Amino acid sequence: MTNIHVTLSAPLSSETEAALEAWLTKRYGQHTVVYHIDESILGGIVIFDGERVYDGSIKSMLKTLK
Amino acid sequence: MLGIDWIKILIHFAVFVVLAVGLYLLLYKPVLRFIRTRQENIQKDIDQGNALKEEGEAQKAAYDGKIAAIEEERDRILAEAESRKQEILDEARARAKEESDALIADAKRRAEAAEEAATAQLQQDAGKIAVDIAGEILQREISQEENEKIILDCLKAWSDHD
Repeated sequence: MTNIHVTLSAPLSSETEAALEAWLTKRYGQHTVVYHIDESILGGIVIFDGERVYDGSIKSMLKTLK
Repeated sequence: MLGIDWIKILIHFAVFVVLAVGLYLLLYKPVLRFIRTRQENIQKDIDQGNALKEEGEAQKAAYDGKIAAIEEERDRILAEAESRKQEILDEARARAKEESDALIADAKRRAEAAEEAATAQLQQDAGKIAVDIAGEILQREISQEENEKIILDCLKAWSDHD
């Protein structure tokens, strides 16, 4: 079972959370999710599956712009 | 007759002849020999003097030739030195001009590079400031719906990518 950490700037609505769960299930199958709230990412989402980081945070986008 | 004593005259003539012959033999010849010897010595001295004079003149001519050659060599060396001096001065001037041109070009290049670096730094700083401001605005202004739309777009993009 894959243990996944999801970092957000604010809690998600139930629809979006359901969409995220569907995406995680499709990708990883059986898994557990740990949510973290971190306002410093400004927005977007960061997913860490233990090996790989999917960084879709606004903070990283701004860093890329810089 | 005229009272002339021919015997006495004859005796006097004889004495005169004997005296003349004696003088000729005893005095004239040695004096003549002395005079010739003296003349020969004088001539020899004159010849020797002439020879010495000619030798001196020859030596003087040789020295004059050597002096002329030395002066000619001196003039040649001076001219060569002057020419070499001029060459060295020309080379030094050319080298100094080349170095000063290189220094000017280098300074110009450095100034341009510094200007470009300053401009680039300014642009980079301005970009960072703009992004920081954008970040602060986003943090304040981004709505829940917009944030979730960004998240859904990310998920879709990652799915498409894989």
